[in-house]
Amino acid sequence: MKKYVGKRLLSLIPTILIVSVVIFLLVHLTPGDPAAMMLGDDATLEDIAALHTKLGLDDPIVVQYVRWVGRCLRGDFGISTAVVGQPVADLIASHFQPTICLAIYSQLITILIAIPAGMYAAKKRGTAGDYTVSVFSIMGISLPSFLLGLGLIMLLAVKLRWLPAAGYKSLTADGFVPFIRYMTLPALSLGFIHAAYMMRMTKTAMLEVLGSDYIRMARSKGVREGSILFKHGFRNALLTVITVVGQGFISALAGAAVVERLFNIPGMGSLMVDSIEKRDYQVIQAITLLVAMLNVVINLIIDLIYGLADPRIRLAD
Amino acid sequence: MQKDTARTPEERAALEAARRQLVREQRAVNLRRFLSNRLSVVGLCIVTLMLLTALLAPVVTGAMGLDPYSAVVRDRLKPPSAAHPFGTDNLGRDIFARVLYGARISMTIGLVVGLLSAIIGTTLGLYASTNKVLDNVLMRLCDGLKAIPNILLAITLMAVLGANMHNVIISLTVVSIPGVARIARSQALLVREQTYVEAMRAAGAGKNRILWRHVLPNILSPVIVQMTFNFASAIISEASLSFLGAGIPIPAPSWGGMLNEARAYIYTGWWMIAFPAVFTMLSVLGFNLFGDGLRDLLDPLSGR
Repeated sequence: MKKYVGKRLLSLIPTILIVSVVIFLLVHLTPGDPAAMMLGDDATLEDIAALHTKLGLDDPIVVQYVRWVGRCLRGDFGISTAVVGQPVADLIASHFQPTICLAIYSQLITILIAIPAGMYAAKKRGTAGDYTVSVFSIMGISLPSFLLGLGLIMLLAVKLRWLPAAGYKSLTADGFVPFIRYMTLPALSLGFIHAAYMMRMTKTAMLEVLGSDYIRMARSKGVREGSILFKHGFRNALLTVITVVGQGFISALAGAAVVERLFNIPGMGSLMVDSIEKRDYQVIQAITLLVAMLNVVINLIIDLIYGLADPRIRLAD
Repeated sequence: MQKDTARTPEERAALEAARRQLVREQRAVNLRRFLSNRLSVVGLCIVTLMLLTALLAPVVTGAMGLDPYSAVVRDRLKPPSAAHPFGTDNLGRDIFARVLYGARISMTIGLVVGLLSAIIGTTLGLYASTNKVLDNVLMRLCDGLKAIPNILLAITLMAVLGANMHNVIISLTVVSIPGVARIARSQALLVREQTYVEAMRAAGAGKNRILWRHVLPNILSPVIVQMTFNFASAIISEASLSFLGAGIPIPAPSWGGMLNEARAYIYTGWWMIAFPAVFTMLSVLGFNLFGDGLRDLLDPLSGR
């Protein structure tokens, strides 16, 4: 296991290196002078030149990259060019909570919908219920989150007036019930698409397991159906499900950009979209880097869980 | 290559005719199999309809005397009627004309992004399969790009490049390339191990000839399937970007942009949201269903 962990950690290095180089270069090659933008319109050429030296914008690109990585590792993502003097790290920290809460809540909804539905479809293969699940999963995959969100707002908020159409209440400051009331629609719009995917994957994994010899063996021994489905079947399909949950968490964080804008939630996604208009590249860079790194870490954790759960995987490497 | 000198021209013509006949029969079988899957036929119909809508938008709206840009102030926020089948928006523009012209934008972007990423991705994948060092570099680069969630990479690219149609195409192509390159590369590695490629090599065929004449045709099926799905995801991404104001700039009638403008009128003008939303969803659904059918047909072992 130690060797497996070591190998996995080593294989991260090129990925992290490339992700950081790509994100650094993307913003570095942007037209426009960050120093001039930070100082505004009435800055003199001398001021701009001075800030250039101060920020190290005249150094070779490799030096700038290494310095940038060093700063990021210490949690310093630079200074916002739009909100003057505000460190990007502080901006992100103040927008972090809504996004994380939304991502977790949407994943809970996804799991609660998808796993029972997927297991049901696998168990009742070929029946009307199975087809309903399949049709839902195809529709879900074809439905962009903001369209589903708009539909949900029109139905549940405008027409039926069950839930508020937009806005945000914090879990810590406003309490649980208002939080749930405001976050259910955004979480549903983020989670449903992934639920469709998870449903498909759960079904495929369950079918694979249920078709295997040891399940036939268990059945012929007279093990009860429920026990076969949950104890023998689901436990072996669980690895696939864990992967899909990990991917879902990342896609919820990324999809937040669109959904937060739709529901006026002051999270990282809204911050990122606002920063496009304000041309605040430091913020965009930091958020993209953060989510990409989180993605790498989550994939690592999934790999490690796989290795832990299935000795064949860690030995095959 | 050994020339087919042992046979007379007549014999060769007969052989060629027999081969053509076989190909025709195989095609007929494939077509029947595709048509027997009801969902993929639905997909094909939607795709055809959307492409026709995109092509004929100027003709149809012109015949009805409608224009996607002209704003008539006294016709603001009118519900669907005979004169304006989909109603009018907050500026008094006809939504029917805007939705039809929106199909032009979505289909163009889907088509160009799908084709460009397929061409570039396949080329990269093919060459990666020939050279260990190149393979390592390209595949690590793909891993790196794939670690950044698609929509975030697209947003970052759009923020850096600036919002316009060309840049939407560039961004979404960059986002789609790694997926195609991976598929092309893994397929090419398999095909290169086959005996017929070995035979070509033994016969003295050049590297590039083997790659483009013999490997490429045999990896095309999964690439084409992936292209259909890229088409669908390009439509979603473009709509999302335009919805965020980072895609096609207003006043161009992109579906995402229309939905962004419609957000403020959710209580007063449901038609402003409903029509662009339905068209976006239908076209994505159409391409996904069509892609599913193609995959079952061309590439029956993968994906399921």
